[in-house]
Amino acid sequence: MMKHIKAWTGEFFLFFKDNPIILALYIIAMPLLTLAWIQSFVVYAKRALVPICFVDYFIITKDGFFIYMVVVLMSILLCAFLNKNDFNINRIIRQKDVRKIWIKQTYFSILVSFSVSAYQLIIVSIIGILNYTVLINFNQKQSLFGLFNDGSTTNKVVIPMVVIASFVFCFLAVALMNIIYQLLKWVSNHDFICLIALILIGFLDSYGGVGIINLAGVSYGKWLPYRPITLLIPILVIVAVYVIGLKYSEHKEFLNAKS
Amino acid sequence: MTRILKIELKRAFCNKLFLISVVIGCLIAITHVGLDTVPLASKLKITNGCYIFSVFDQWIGLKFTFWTSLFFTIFPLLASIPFADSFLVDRKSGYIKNILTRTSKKNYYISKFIAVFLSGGFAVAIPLVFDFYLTSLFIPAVIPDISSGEFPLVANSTWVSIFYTHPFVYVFLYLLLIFVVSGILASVALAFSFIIKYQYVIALTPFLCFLAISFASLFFSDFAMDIRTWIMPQQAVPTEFKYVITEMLILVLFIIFGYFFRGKHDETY
Repeated sequence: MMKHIKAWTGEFFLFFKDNPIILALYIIAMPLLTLAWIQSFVVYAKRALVPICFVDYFIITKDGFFIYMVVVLMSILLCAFLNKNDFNINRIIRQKDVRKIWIKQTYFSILVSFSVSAYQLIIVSIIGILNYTVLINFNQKQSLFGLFNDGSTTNKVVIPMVVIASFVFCFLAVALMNIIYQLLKWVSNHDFICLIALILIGFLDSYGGVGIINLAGVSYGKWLPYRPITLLIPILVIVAVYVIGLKYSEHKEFLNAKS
Repeated sequence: MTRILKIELKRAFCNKLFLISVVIGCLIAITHVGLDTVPLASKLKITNGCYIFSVFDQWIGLKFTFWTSLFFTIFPLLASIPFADSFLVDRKSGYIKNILTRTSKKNYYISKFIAVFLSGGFAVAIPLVFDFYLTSLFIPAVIPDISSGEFPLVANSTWVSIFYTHPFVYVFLYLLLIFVVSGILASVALAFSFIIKYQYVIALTPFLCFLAISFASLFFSDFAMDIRTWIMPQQAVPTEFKYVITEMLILVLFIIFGYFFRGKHDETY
């Protein structure tokens, strides 16, 4: 297995070497979109006369709409580019074991999710460092935390905890959506239908109150007090989807698949 | 021209994907009516001194619900599902080469644009008309009265006088605006067909353009710029036509240069 992982990691990096434009687009688009999203909250905070602290930047960029429409969508498109030749008949025959394709796609999903989440963390950290006035103000009523929690405050939140939790949550949410997308692709054979399904899931999660953001998110309401145990939910779902995909891949018919 | 246009229109409308798109839109409309309008209609009582609900503030365009938000977020996708990627498919499959032996390039490109524009517009407008029709079955078409305070349009909203005097005209005008915007957004995919080679990414480009404009509005902190805001007939933020025209003009120019101009100089064979 280690031999495969090494080869797949090489393939992953080779993709970016072969497609520098896609990489450049990602590198440019992510900070711009993050900045635009943060800007809307900065204006909101100014109107509400509350200061934005360093930690706020990590929480406002984990909003459902932003996560799904920017981070998840970008990583899914990247995964789709990476895996575009996987259902090619010749490639499948070369792989010998169909399950290997599913495992490879899951591995790519994890790699992409980690890279995108880490990049987003770096961007948010830089924006936060350049703009913050105070590190954390969750103990004050005159803060975004107090505003979103109807005046409730807390002293128990520390900065590393928010940074780590927001990163882990972002990584898990993106990885989960990527793997669900891959599974839908295996079942339906249509990229576009899978994308629509995921956008609908994202919308239901962001506005309908059903989904991973609501169960394991890091929004302001989740810090009274924060329960890291909720992060187990996406992990369990990822494992379940992985096992379902592995079982499904054994019976998958590629005769009518588009290469 | 007429012959190729007929062929393209037939391909655009007698198409499984067009049906899927309309069905998705209509399902949202049915769910909205079933969950929001029908329970309200059962409570409807006409009593003196009480202003009853009107279809003009209860249909999906004018009532702010989860379904409204969902519909007006995914409408670029509904517009692009039927036929937006067809130009790339024609190029990839070689169909365009066969067509261009029988008709001129100009005719084919114009016909394709018209077909994509109309299929995109109708895929979005039909569910809205369907929702208005369904809502009309349960809620009476009471002429809106500004003093009732039940209607979302305020003094500085666009076409507010039309809404309070001729509400059907207001609904028709907004449907027309939505139709045109959906058609233009769907046609954006044509211009991208020369740049991007992935079919599903092409179909996604109208939605990505829509998101880009939304994020630009966030960046400039001007919500009136956001398509999601001004496309809704309820006008949560009053529609400013300078933004509508500017944004659509940019997209139309992009289509003209990216599709017609580029297409003119494109070597098909």
